Amino acid sequence: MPVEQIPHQQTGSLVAGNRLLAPEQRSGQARPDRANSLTCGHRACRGCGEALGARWVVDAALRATGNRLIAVNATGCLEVFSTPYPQSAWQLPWLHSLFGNAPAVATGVAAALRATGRADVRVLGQGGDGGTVDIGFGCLSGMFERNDDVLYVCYDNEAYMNTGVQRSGATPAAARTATTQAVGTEPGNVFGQGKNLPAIAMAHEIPYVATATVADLRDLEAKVTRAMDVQGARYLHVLVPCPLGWGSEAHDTIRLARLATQCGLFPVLEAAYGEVTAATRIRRRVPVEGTCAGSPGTPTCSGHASGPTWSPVSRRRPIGTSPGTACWPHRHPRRWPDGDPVRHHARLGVEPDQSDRRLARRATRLPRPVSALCRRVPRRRERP
Amino acid sequence: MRLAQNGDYEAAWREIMRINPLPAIMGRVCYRPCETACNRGQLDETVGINSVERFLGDEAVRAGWTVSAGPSTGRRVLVVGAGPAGLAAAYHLRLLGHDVTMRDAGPEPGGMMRFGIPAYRLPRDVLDAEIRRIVDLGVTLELNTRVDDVAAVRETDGFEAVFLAVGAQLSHRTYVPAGDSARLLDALSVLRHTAGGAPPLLGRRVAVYGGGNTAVDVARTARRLGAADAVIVYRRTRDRMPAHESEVAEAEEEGVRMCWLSTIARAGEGRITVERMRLDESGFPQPTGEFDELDADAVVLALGQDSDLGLVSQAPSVATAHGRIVVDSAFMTGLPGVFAGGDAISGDRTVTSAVGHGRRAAQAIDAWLRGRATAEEALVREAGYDLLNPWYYTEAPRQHRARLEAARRTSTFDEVVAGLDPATALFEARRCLSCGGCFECDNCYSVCPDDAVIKLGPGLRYEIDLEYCKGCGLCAAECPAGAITMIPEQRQPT
Repeated sequence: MPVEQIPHQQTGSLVAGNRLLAPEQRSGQARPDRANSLTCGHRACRGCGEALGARWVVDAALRATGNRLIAVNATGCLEVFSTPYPQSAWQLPWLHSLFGNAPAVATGVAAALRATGRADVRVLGQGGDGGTVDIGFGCLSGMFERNDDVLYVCYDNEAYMNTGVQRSGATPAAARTATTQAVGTEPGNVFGQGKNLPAIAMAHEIPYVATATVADLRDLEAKVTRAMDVQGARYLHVLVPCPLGWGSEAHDTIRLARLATQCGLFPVLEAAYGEVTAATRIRRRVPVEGTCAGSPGTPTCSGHASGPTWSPVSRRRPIGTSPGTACWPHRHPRRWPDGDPVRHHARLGVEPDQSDRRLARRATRLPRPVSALCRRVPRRRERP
Repeated sequence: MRLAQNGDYEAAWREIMRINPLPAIMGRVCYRPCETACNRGQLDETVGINSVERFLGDEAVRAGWTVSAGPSTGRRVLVVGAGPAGLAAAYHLRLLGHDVTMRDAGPEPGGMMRFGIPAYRLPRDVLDAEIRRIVDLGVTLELNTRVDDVAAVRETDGFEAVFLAVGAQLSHRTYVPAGDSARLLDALSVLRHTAGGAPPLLGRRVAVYGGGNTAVDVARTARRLGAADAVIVYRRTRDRMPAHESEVAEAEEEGVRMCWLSTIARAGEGRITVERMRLDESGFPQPTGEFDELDADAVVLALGQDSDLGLVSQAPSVATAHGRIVVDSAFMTGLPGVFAGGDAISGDRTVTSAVGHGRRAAQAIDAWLRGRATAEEALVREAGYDLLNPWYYTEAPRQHRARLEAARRTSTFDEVVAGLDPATALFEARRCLSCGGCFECDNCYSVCPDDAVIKLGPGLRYEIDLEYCKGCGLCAAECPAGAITMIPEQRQPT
């Protein structure tokens, strides 16, 4: 874990600040002089996880580089809500070209800086999951494979939210989107599809890959800071819940991300050269299955007190659940390489009411066991 | 707690002293009703508010911190009784600038804290130090002075107001058929003589009749005085016992035996007869007609206490009911300018409520002397556990106070429960969740997706920039302490 865990002291390092800690032990976002690179007045929805995550990421990158940073943005929510022509909410040099070419543009910016002798200026590429996992994937893979000196950050809200919540390659199984409705016996998004981009990035054996969420923002900040210490291609995958697309309450953004990590569906890890080097331990385990304790709009906001909002689905058996409790019909019987059956979404023969459907809408997924994937890829680059 | 968390013990002590002038005493004898309400109990274990209070009180005694009286008003107030209620009232009246004369019939100040609470719960040096600090504020203390007629004394000695805190010094009696040679004592005199250094002869086997805290105190005192066998005889069951759970547990650790559902039917020489009881549907004990015999050299009656209200018997306007003085919400009796508090009025008869009576009565006396209405206490906004976000609090087990080993608890009057040391006291203070109160963790400032929370600087907290706030409520949801409230915006009529 890159962020130092400080026990006791009332809230320890779990909160951003904490007056009982020395100023250098508090997060950068607790400082009154923080950069506010994505400043107020942008047009993100209420409770936008992406706007929150982006400010933490870009502010941390600015601090790590001494404000010598250029950001390149793919098309997506982040670009649309921050820069309606002729305005901009960005307080740093910022470029936008197309939906699919942000990694390539970032590569070009890095090359131009190198050619002009400005190697001290670093480059940050960023986009949503659509621009990263689907449309920009070829450019991103090229950027990884050439090991260009770019930190690329994917803000994963699990669908094309900007254009009306359509399914993307990062949409998890059984998730409801405009194009994968949970109707009749259909579970929502189909099981067994989609890409696990952190694992793919690790398969490129780039120097640094990490996942993070907006539930542990100090961890996110520390990972960006660590990534800026590394030269070469780096990839950061950040889970950012989207109240509009997920149909969740605006105040539940952080809580949902926390539940995703605490039920084991979204592992928070770090990897170097294709090997996992650190993982954040689950602090208070919650079951994936079960119902949401609070009805929609109830201001219970802790992973501790309430159950998760997810339906009883996951692609692998989640930690803390017993086998056999998910009794959905195996319409697409599949097995993992280790022989573990892929479990399916079930309706129990009862037409769900609206609240069940609401609960069944979301599901995140566990990335495939990356070590198994990585072993098959021959090593091409020598470690420094 | 906030100040103690910062390690600023003197400021934290001064904050306590605004309310409670006896923190070292209260940190020992209070039954901690506040900890019952502590939200941390739902997370792991309640915060040891009481042990932190005691630590701060002991620090103050050790370092000699003092407070000073307020500017003099020249108004004279008589406080009758130097127990916890009288001391607290005298302290607060001195802070408000009034001249206070305290009269007590006893040879030393402290009331029940000295003559009722055994030394193993409240060491006398602590008691003396805290009383001395109050007397040093300029209280005129007149000991061995009984006030017989409150109206006459007030007239002759020229006091404008009087506070009656005479306590409840008379043991409740009941009829127990006893042989000539049976030894029957009352609990208060046992405790008083023990405190005075002349313990009564109890014998080797002592039966204590009653189920209150006094009964437990007597039984534990008897063990320390050499009784091999101390039995508490109580007519109901343990869960219906008025004595505090922790006291009963400590007594059992010291070898005090309990005899539930029993009454003493007869007392003879070296032997008593107890009758078995059973509880009826309403929970009231009914006799069964079955009898047992118990060996007992002495029987101590601890059946409750009454106040000696002779001093108001010549003032017909002061109403009494059930042996207690009747007061209004401002602690004033039927006689204007005469106030009462502590065990002499109805209440739960603990040091805690007596000190509270003293403070509130002092405020009422001050308001009455100045011809003002009593100031309403500002309501504290309480935050229930559901408003908190317990995710953010670190795992921190409660720091328990060490206890004296059992062997020394039956032979000496040494203090049983030790205090916290500075490290554990600081740790315990930092377990506080600050429910409903901002402690500047910067979470709201850092989780706002719209940069709409403005940080005002250390100690100044935050402000929401409503021009940019979209009302998502993330700050309120992620506030650990539930210190942020979402209020729906009222649309302005056009």
